[in-house]
Amino acid sequence: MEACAPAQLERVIWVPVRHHSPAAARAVRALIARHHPEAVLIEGPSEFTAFDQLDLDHRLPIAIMTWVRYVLEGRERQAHALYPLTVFSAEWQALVTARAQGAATAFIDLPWADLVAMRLGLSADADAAPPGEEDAAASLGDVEPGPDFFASLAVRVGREDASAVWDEFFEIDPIVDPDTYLTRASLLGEGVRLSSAEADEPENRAREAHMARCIASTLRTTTGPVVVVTGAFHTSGLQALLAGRGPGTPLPTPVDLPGRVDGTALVPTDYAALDARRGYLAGQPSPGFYHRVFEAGPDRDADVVPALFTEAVSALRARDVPLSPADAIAAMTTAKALAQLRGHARMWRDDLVDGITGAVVKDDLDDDHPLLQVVLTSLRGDRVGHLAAGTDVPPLVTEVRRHWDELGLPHPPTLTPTTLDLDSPHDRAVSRLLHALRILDVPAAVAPADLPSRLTSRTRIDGSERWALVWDQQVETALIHASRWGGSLEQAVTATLEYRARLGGAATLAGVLTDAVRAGLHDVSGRLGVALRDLVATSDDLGELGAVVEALVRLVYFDTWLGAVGRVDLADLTRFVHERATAVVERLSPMAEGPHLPAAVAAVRTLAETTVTLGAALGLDADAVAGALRRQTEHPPGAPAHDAEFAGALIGAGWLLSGDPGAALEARMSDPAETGRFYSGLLAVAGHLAIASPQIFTAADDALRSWDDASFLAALPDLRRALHALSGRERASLLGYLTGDDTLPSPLSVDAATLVSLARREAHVVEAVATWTGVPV
Amino acid sequence: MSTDPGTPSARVSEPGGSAPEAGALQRPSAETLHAAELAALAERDARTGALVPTGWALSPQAVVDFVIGDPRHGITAKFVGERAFVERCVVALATHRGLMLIGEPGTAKSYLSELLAAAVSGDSTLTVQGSASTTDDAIKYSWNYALLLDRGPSLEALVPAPVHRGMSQGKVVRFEEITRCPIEIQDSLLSILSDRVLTVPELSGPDRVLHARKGFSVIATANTRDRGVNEMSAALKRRFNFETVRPIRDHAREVALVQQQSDAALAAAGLAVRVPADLTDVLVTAFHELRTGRAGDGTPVEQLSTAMSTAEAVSVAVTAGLRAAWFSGGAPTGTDLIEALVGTALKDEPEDLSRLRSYFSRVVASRTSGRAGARWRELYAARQRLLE
Repeated sequence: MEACAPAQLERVIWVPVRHHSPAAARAVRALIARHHPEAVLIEGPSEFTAFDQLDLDHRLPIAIMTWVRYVLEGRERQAHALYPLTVFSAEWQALVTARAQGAATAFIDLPWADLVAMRLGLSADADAAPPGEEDAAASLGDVEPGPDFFASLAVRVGREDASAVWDEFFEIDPIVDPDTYLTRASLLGEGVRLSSAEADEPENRAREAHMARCIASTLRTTTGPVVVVTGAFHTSGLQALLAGRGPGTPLPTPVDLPGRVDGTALVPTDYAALDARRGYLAGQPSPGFYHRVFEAGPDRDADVVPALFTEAVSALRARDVPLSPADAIAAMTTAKALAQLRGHARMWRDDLVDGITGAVVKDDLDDDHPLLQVVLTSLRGDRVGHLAAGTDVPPLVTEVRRHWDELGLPHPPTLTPTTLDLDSPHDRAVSRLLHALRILDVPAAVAPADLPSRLTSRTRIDGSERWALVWDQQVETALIHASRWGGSLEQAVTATLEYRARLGGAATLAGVLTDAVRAGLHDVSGRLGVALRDLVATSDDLGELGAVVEALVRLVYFDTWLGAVGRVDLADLTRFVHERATAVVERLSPMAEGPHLPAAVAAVRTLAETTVTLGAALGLDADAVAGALRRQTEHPPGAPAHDAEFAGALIGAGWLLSGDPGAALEARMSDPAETGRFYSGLLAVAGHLAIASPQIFTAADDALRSWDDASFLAALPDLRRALHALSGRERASLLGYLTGDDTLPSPLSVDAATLVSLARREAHVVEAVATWTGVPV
Repeated sequence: MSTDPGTPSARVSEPGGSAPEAGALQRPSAETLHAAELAALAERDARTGALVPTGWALSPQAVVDFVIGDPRHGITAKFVGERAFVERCVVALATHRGLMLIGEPGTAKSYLSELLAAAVSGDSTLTVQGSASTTDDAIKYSWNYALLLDRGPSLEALVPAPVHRGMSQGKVVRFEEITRCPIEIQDSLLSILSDRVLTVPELSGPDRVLHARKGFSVIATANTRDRGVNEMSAALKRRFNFETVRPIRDHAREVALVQQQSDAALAAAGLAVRVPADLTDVLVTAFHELRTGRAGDGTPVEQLSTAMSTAEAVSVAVTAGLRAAWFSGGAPTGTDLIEALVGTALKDEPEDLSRLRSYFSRVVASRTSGRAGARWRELYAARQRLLE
């Protein structure tokens, strides 16, 4: 890049800053007021140009979000970054002061999309692993100083915390006027730069090159002073570039991002989130503290710490921490003495924290000590930002708001339960919207339980779906965040689902497909169906196939409620998976006991049930299933057999299909321990049939009577497990059959007088228990 | 014989002789060993007009410099820790609260207490060693029974213990392992710490009540691994500022410290052998991982039941050096280290050996590749000793 003439460069007022620092903010304000610049250039996302949006009456903290979507290797990807702004951010004060004076303002950092493209290009060149999790918010501007420079500073200050080092040189000293600030900040920035290897990194060089070009172009189009506000690390680098002393090595070429879509938006944030971001030049611990320091101004900020002290003590006492006045006096004395020893002109944050913890903590103090956390939380503050009414929001947000209101949904401030009736078309539309929001992780609606996939005698199914709704600040913020996935609700949900679909096998994909159907996205579900078919075609995992059939069957059973009516492709897919599962069963090698067994048993059950209930509707080949099952159950003697539980399941499945209990009647288990497992498998699949034909238990009954104690005990756990699935009444009837004793007392064969006297006695006992224990029964 | 019970030199010197030289002592006290530095700091205080609290020998800033070190003025670093932490300790003493140092064994609590006492009062010998059998006599005062019976209660008959001497001379008293004392004995400090007064009921007149002179303070230490600080009454806890002494977190500093201390110990034993730097690095890394329960790459490591402190690491290094010097005549190797580790670091818990074995097979084995792994290879090859 060509050097600028020295005369031009003299017009530049360089202001090196730390991103959230009251001292930097004040210095920027004072310098802009002093020099009346024609333009103010700020390190920030240059793709954001809607400065009039920033002028609105927002409640800080807010952030500028910038994102980019692109397609790589056939998949849609997404990456975003957040630039937070607080009232004590140098950037914010620069913006506000400049605009009040009528100066032109602009952000000059490399656009985020270009940075992402460059990172991809770098990783492709280096043949390294592809870029990491794209969905994480980037943290720009975090430059860690090199160890030696920082170590020497930290030794002088006595703390290893970056913000403590900054505070020592800039915040605590009350006589840091703008000129002193500039001297120190430039020195610090240069020291950090020289000691860190970051300056030569391609990303940093690209960013600085872009910033330098922006500054040069501004110089060409202005004649008055130009103020440049950037992180202290960059200042000396930019000065060198503008004077023509750049490193000269070529920058890496950014990769073309196919299908590139980028955008920016304002998003509210809060101090808790800011506290969590750290790094030398961005992020800030205890933002609430610095906020108050800034608002008090350099003359009155000595009052901030004593006020915070009182608040911290109150917070501790509210948590039942015993803090007597004597303790409070001791804490304050320690804090003041520490301030004096450390040469602080007035008490500061660390003096306060150390004073209180020294007086109050009486055991091992480590970083997550609860008392320390209480103190740090009261210093952090709870401020939550809010966008001004009328701020432009991404189209997704507007669409969702409009849709929500059109459907007549309320805006409750706290979670409110709502029940939808899926028989009504209106409620089905609501359900689709709520599922879409759930998929986008917008906390407007809390998810309901899923509809069951089996029809058993105990399942009660109706078309009601229970949700809990809420509409608050967090929902609005989440919607703005969600808009990075797409310009419209459908687009965003599609992109999210496709992103999740890459993660797993067939079962995950089936889940994603269900989500797509429930959100009403037919095209997506169609595409996912095709992908699922391909995965299933080569899958040998019986358990997984069973899970997929279950998910698909649910869609078919409840097609009206789930909006899958007329979906021939889903019916075809279900048939396809069913056939594949049948083929897998036919070819199964002997199944051993293990963690995969329950899934396999469930799969066999699903297969059989689906054949029976949906066979005609879907055109399933019942004979093929029966044949496969028969092949598996008829083993030549001496050949390795399946685990007894699986064998029971297979026989149960065969019974379900054929209606003939024959094989079950003839089943003989040689080993007593296997008997329990056999019945466990059998009852899992054909439990209701077994109860209706209890004669199949006769063989077991006979065998049981012939066992010795040891064998019985060995078999007992599995037998219990087998009968566990039966209800009380079913067990009673089975018992009646086995004992042949019809005179077993059933719950209803008690005469009235006995019943009354029993009831009276029971009430008496209950009352006595309640009286003597005080516990209501 | 001097009748003033308060003069320390009357106690330690041989009758008619002079005090033994520092070079002949096994472990001279901090004020003797670093007398030159203390004098230099006092002179600097006088020159700069620094504020020295009544009863103190140095200003608080000078005390911090003495402990942490100040290379520009030739003060060596003695305690490895954060400056802010030492500042808090000094402030606790300056604001007339007791200072309570707690932490894992081997984190240099007693050493810090000694340094602080030496810097503040010029005397670190007013020490009470806490144990289950400590009584009031060892803390406050006792009697010379011959004199007592002969002449009745008088100041000559009183044998002052460290707290009495500290209060009457205005010096810092160190109470080591305070939580090992029975609670009733600990609580005898309650009125001393709050009212700063000690009553001797047997005497009459002005000697009956001893008011503490300015400069008196108490530094207590307690181990969080043994009985911990649960064995201290809440009333007593309130009178102390608690400071946790943490193990050294910075690997490079810990290695430097272990190297320096083992070199000094081996030199004091008159040997020329030294533990090589890369072996020290391996030793410190292993101790750090076993102490924190986490290997360098984040995999969890089973912690041993012993504290695996820096002090233990120093003893292992010294033992390895001694073993190498006496038995193999060369520099210590992985074999010496293992022998020293088993002998020194593992105490009475038999499962520790098995945990150490699992550490070796999981973590040490994975580091044996490449040039950087040479010492780890050596260590791993010597693990036979662990299998017994």
